[in-house]
Amino acid sequence: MAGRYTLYFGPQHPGAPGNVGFRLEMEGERVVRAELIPGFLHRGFEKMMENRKWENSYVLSYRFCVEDPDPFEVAYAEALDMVFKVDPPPKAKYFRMIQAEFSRIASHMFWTHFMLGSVGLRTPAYWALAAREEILKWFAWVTGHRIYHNFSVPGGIRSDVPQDFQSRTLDLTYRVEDLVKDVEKAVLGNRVFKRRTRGVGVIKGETALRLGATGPVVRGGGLAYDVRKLAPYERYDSVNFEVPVGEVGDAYDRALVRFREVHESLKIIRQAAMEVRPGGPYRVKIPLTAPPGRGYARVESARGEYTVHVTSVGGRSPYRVRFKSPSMPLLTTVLDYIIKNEEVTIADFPVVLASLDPCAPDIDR
Amino acid sequence: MVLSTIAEAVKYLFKRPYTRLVPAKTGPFKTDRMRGAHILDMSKCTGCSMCQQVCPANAIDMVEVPGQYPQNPRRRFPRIDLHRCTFCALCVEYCPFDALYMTSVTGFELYTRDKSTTLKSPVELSRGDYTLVTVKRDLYVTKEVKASG
Amino acid sequence: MASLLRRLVDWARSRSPWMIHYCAACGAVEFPPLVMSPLDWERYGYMPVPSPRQADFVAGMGYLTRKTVKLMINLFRQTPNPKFVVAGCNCTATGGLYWDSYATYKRLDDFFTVSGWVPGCMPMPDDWTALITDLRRQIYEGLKGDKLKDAEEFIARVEEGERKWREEYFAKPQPPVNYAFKETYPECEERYERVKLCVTSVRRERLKTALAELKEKGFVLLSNIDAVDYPKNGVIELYYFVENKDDSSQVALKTFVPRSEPEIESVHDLYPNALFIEREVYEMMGVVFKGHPELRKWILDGNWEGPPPLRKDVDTATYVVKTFYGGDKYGR
Repeated sequence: MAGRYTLYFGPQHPGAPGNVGFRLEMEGERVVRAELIPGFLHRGFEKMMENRKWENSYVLSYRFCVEDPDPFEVAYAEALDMVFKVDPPPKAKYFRMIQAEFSRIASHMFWTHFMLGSVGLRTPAYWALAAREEILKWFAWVTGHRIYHNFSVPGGIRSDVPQDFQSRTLDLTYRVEDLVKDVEKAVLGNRVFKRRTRGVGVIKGETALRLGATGPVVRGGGLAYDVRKLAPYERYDSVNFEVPVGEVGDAYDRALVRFREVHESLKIIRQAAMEVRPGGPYRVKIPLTAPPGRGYARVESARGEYTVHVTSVGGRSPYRVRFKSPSMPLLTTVLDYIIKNEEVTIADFPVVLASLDPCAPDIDR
Repeated sequence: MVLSTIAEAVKYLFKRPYTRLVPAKTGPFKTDRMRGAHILDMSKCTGCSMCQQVCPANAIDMVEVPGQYPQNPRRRFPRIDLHRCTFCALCVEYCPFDALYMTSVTGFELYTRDKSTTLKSPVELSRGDYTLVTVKRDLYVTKEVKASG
Repeated sequence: MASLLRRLVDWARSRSPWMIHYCAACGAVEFPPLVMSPLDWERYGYMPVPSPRQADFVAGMGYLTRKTVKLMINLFRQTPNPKFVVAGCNCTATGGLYWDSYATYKRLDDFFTVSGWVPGCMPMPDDWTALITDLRRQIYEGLKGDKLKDAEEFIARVEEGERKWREEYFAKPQPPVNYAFKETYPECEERYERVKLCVTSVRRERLKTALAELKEKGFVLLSNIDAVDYPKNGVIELYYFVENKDDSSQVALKTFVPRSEPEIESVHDLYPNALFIEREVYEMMGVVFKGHPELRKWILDGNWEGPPPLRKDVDTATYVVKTFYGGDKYGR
């Protein structure tokens, strides 16, 4: 059947990346244009932040992206550190790194489950979710909640770490590594997975950057662009890690990059955990009113660079908070580019979507 | 090859199952720092409404309670809406008199068919089970250092 | 005999409640652990199904944005009887943390009758099992299921009120411009070494040339556009954050537009992703980008009909408390 027709894809669709929809223009089997329909998850964070006070606004700060909340939490805490001109104790900085990296691993494992669903390889997805579950349990043990940790606060971290923090954290990294290795072997070596992803959704790193994307999509295209290396925040300048890159920039390369990133993250966690011991200062109390000024923070989330811009005119509340959404270019400009430059059929469309790893709530905010 | 996936999968046949038993049999998952439903110590609360001020979800309202409370002459105590609370524990952290705690009681125990039951009056809050207390104020406020700049 | 058959049907039905696979909000992130490892739903016959026509219940998982609610009503209509609505998370029950959000409805029971509530932000997988187990009991007891309330009328009333507000807002005269501005481009006026940010100001007529110059120098990535509203000064400040592809240093170009005439040239031909960021700034702040091919409501479409919500003189919190909580901000 040839001829053009319009097809609505999502938001209620197992292949849709969360609660977003697409209006697809089709020509037979081929998708010729995809228009994003966002807004199903819009809550108006930027307005709500203005109604909150400095000391409780951070409770909102990490809810943009449920899959990967901690880089967002760390970024807002960093921006407020800049507004209040405080320097958190080193232990807090190292802990924030551990938190952000664990969140990255959990997010990549969640992505694995989502990606494998779209190529029909469900078994390793169970192991990936088991790895994520182990991390969520660790979070519940240290911070008190599985998803919304509420732990990196302006001025440091919220409470001291438990007594056996180091040993349990290191133990966890080895357990997660075992599971991730199994998943990796089962996924990347699988011929079906290769066939479904090789040459699908090709985009070069520099092109992606010009279109506004950052993160694994750029790195999969062969450009080692990572804020953790280029503009180190917290104590990323003091740990050893590499920035994995792909070659072709197709869906397979992005998967490869994500799996390698998990191992780099584990490396970072092992180094940082050595610096976090129970006892000693972990938090600088911030005052109730802020000086006028500007706060800015840039972090590398699992989906790319994330920035916060806080404008303060003094007083007890932020005057304006603006967030960058790392997922928005993925589903708009990058997806457009891919659809224009190669033949994406409706069967491949969920694979392309999943390989970009967008986070729906962070587009809408 | 597809065989590599199958080989890995076969390996998992000989491992212990990761799947947990039902929570009704093994008990739900809890940790020592779990942030759950509140307990109010009515013999400590002075009705300063600090928790009301700091709550980001506006879940806490100060209501008047009959009875005699020497430390709280206006008899105003927090009423917490557990169906609005976001369990961030800021009220516990900011309570200057150490009167609020959090327990490991979460949705598993709080499940209800009638949502008006989750609006907890101060008296109901004070009847909580103290053996389940997980989060106290001293978890958050020890070893603070003053801002230098 | 008939009653025995009836009970048998109810028993059989209670053994396999299927849920519509619809990840409505943040609560959905706890479903993969529930459906797959470690709690593995399917051993009890629960399953997420793609089509509402095969489903038995709809789950509200977190905040109900207005667009989502319209969709849920639609899904619920397509589900065969008897059908159930269950609600997890706090935002479905009272608005939760987003009590002052202009884009969400606050209570699921404004639209449906609801069979069970599980509080939590967010509920853990175990907490969801409590809800599903009870739902199973309810189906076994032979309850008739949940119903739709007359929701359309409520939605229409709210949206009509907002449209009126929008008209009133734009009919108001704007304050005169009272704002000190000095062009410093290409020198930095503020510099932040650690985040590699340099803030510089440029007049709005020269903004596009300045951005073109910066793009030549390697600032190929438009990171974000920020708009800050100052009603007292009568201006909206705009910040264009661009990023260098080599060393990832950033430049924030600061400019302003008067509130009486908030117009600026679109930069989408320099930075393709500006198309969407500009669209967002347009709907949230009411800044018009000249030359933008498709300037329309996007994220707010279906969510908000009132004036641009991020303007400082648009008090959405008071409006929301008045409309949805009857004036009591601690109420339900």
